[in-house]
Amino acid sequence: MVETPEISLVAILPELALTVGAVVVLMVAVSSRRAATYLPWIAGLTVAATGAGLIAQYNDVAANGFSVSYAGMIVLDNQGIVIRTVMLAAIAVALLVGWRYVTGLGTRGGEALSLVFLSAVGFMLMASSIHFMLLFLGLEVGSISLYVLAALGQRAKRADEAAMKYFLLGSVASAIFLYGVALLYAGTGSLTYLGVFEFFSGDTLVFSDGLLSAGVALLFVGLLFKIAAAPFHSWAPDVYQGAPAGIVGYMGAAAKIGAIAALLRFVQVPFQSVIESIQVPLAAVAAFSVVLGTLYAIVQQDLRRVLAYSGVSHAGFLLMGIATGGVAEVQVLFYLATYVLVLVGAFGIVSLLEGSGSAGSPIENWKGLGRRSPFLAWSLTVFMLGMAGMPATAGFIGKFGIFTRAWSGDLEWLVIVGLLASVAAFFFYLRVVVAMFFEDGDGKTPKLGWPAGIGIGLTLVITVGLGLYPTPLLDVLTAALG
Amino acid sequence: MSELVIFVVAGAGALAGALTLILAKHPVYSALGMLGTLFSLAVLYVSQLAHFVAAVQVVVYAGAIMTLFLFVIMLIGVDQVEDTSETIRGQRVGAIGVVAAFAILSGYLWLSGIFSWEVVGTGTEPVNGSIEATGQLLFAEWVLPFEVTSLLLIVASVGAVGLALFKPRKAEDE
Repeated sequence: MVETPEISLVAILPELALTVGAVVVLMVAVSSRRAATYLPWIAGLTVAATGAGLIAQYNDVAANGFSVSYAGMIVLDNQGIVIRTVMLAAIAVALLVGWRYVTGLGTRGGEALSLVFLSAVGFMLMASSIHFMLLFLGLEVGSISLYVLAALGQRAKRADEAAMKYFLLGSVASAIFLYGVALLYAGTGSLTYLGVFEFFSGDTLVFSDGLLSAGVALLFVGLLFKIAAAPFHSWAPDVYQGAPAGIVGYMGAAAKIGAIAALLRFVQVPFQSVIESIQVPLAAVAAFSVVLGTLYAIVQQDLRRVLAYSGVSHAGFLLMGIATGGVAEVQVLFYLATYVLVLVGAFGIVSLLEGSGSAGSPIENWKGLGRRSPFLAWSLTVFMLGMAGMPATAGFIGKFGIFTRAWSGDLEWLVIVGLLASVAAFFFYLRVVVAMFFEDGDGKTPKLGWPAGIGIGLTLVITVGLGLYPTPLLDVLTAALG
Repeated sequence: MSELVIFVVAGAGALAGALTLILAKHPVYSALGMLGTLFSLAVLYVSQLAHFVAAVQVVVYAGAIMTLFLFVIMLIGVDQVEDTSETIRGQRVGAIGVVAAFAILSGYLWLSGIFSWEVVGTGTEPVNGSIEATGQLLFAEWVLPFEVTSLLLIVASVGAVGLALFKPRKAEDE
């Protein structure tokens, strides 16, 4: 007799909605000649249905508290809902600003759209998984979709190079992660977060210390690779530069959301009682990422490489919050939410200027954009200031929150490193602004369609709005997670 | 005793296959060597009472994946001998250096004793690796990961179609 575990549909409603959307997109793309006219509607409906699923989940948690289902595989709690909401917002903005990437692929637009949805399913599962195998499956569903998305564009040498590098290095990282899971299982005898937590907090005999430490280290390295934290970042600049401009923002954002969600849960549950041992290596990686990302970004001549290296330093700031343990969850999530939206928005502007399938974007091309297209130039300025952490943008509130938590969490030296790097970062963020407004050039004049306009406008409103008046969101987050 | 004999024979087979895979000049011999390794592993699985894993090993790896490998080798051409010249300058020296560093590091860790392995009461409880037991686990406790794996297959097939059905002219015109 087979005993069925508790099957809770509400725990996976957003994922279900996205999966159904992806399958419908595929069916329509195959069967209908006028698929191109239907795809926007299906995409919109899918995003709306996912949002409805999230609301249902929120109501469920509000009524019944958090719940675990599928034999201890998945947890339904507010933290998972917040991360999935961030993911959904990233998809919505990415599709709005990058819709030309989907249409530009012609008959393969359906594949691209469905892969965007499926990658989101993978990373969302990472956010709610409390089981290492499910975490790995989520990671793979998400990552493999992103490898394909990187390769789907036009066949340019640089794009192929980027896709190949992303695929090979990403596969190695996944293998490292899986090796870590295997060693952790060998050491603790458990694959669930709770089991590992009980192992570490109990007085169980650790019969192979080295094996266990190696497993934990490999586990973290696999995820640190996905968020492009130094020294596991070497893929990021080439991929950010070479992958199709219309989708690369989403690629960076989605991978960061999934891996940060998993890392956050790691320090909250399974490794909570050994946080002192993993704090130092995490803080070291954070400091290294912040410093290296900032220094390398200063010398780049291509805006997309600048954004890639700034992504390395942002990974460092996020890790700073994670290194404090589970106490900075509100700050980390706020930072993550605002950063990924700005990232998607900034790459949206890059794709409008250079073309959605383009590779590379030298600073040269941005000269004089302030006169040719004031709206885009000003938007990019705001995004750059937001990433730099200028007061009155959401980036400032995010950095401030993380620094405060790290300072009170006895990581003062890390905060000082972060502050110095933030100041130095203004140099490269402002360089493109200077090029746009104070240098002459006669590059392309981008055409701004209404979907891209709405997407960029939304991101602008969020960046500035949350910078001036962040209290409501922070209150909601604190109430939901507290 | 019989278990030891099976282990030694199958283990030797697996090692011989792996060495053939690496050392053979001819790709078909390499593929056959890999086949030998896969079969030997299946025997080892059976001796561990993991019948299901053994069956999967034979059907999926030795059956499907090896056939695929052989197809690819045949399509590319069996008479092509692999070019073993270095593509990156100093590749061989670098590789030897990395291997040496790894050996020194692992030797140090081994001697330092933190990898010492003390068996504490494991292996007393027999694990039921039969097909029935695996199936019950797979469709009850592990039903969600099982379904997510199907998503992985969708992603793989969508990706394969999207990347293989590429018509450069058409995509550029649109």
